[in-house]
Amino acid sequence: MRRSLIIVKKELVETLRDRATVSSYLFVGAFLMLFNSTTFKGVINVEAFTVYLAPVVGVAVGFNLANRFVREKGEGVLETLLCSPLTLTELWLGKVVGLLIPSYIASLISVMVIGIARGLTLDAPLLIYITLVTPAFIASVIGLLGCLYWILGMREVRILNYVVFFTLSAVMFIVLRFVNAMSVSIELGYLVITATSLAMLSLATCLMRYISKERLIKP
Amino acid sequence: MKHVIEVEGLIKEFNSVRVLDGITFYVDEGEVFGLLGPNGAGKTTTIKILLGLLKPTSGKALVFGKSLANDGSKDLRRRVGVLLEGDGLFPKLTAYENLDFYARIYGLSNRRERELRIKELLELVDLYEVRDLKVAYLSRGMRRRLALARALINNPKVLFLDEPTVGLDPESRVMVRDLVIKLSKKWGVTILYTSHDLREVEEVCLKVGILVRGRLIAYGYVSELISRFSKSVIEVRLSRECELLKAYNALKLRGYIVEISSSNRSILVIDGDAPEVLRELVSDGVNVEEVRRLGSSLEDVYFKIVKGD
Repeated sequence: MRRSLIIVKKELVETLRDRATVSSYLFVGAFLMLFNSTTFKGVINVEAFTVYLAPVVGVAVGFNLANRFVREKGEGVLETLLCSPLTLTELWLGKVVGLLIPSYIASLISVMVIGIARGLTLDAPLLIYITLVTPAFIASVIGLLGCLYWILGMREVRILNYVVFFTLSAVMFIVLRFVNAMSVSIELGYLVITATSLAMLSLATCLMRYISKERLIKP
Repeated sequence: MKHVIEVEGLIKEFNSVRVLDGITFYVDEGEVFGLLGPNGAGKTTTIKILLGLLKPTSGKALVFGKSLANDGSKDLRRRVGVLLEGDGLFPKLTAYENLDFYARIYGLSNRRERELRIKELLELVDLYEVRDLKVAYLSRGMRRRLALARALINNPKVLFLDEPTVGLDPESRVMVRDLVIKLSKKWGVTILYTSHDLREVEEVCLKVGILVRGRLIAYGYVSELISRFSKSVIEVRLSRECELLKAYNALKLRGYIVEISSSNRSILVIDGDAPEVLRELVSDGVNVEEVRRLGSSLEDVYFKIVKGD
């Protein structure tokens, strides 16, 4: 765990020095400004919109940073890292958290911007959604993506981004739909989404054990 | 003496193509072992198997009696330093941050100790002045030196150096060579060293193994290999240039393998006995100025083995 934190710190330093992160934030900012200035007040339900906005923004930034799962191979750092006492799981976990933080920050900023501009009422379920469900969902997308890149031999396969995102989004929206239709409490729905996200992360952690170093360093 | 590195009957196949064919060698504590061979001979593959990055098809590749491929080899990996083809440095981090990152990964948790160790290493490779520069802005040679410092961050007991002097200027090469000698002689570090610079290997390594197409063709002490594989060459320098042909014919008639040397007034006698050659030339009336045995080098051995010269 301690070594994963070292990776997290490194990822954050690299993120701050990475133009891709800055461009992601600028893109999100520009999108929200455009959205706010072109959508009439009252046309959308801000609370319902936030439920979609928060994970989508986070995942969009996460996608932009996902190449960091495979970057070390191109930079000739991977083999050296794999010779250190660091395990594959520790490296992967450090990367997931290291990429989750900037992605989630973007998500929070977007909620704050829209919230302030449109007068969002932050009730308890929405607060739970933003602080628990959203980061869990973003982490599961990033984590699964990283795991799949590694299973494929440290190759960034862009189509996987969409497959993972749409699969997990489908799960999320089916649950929300089910909650609405069955008149079950929204908190239970959020709990199911969080549990599913964490289950996906656990699955990725288990899969890590089956990835060989040879597979990763293969040209 | 206990072997620190043991490679026995090591075979590696990639898609049914055999790249290592049953190689066996041992490296003892404090030894510098040179693994030589042309590109594609299997040197890097051997190192990667020893480091646990590749799985052997069969055979043993052990460090301190254990395989680095096992998940439980964390403690063992703490005692191993690595400098591979890639420098293993993060371009967006500074020279200092790179060493700090690896120091933490290798478990140097005490901040003060870490700072001292990093300072010591940066000064050793003459990069302390550029410690706050991002690696992306360092020259190739500087990155290689920093990578060497990185490989030493954990005070390794075994060091794998895969072409450590590639891209270095002559001054830095000497620095690396002296450092390797110091590491092995003063601190007893066991080193597996590969390089295409055979003179460098001869100066640094006690034992070498020569790999050709995945097979260990020669293995032993450098001095032993030189005496086993090199031809004995005698240079005969004559007093007068006009006697060159006379001496050449006289020796040729007696069955010697003779060559005219590129420098004037001398001929080379392959596999000859110096006193006998001298006696025969004098009896034929040739005025000999000097007879000396030419020294052989690892380079001669290498080319004889690899290219069949």
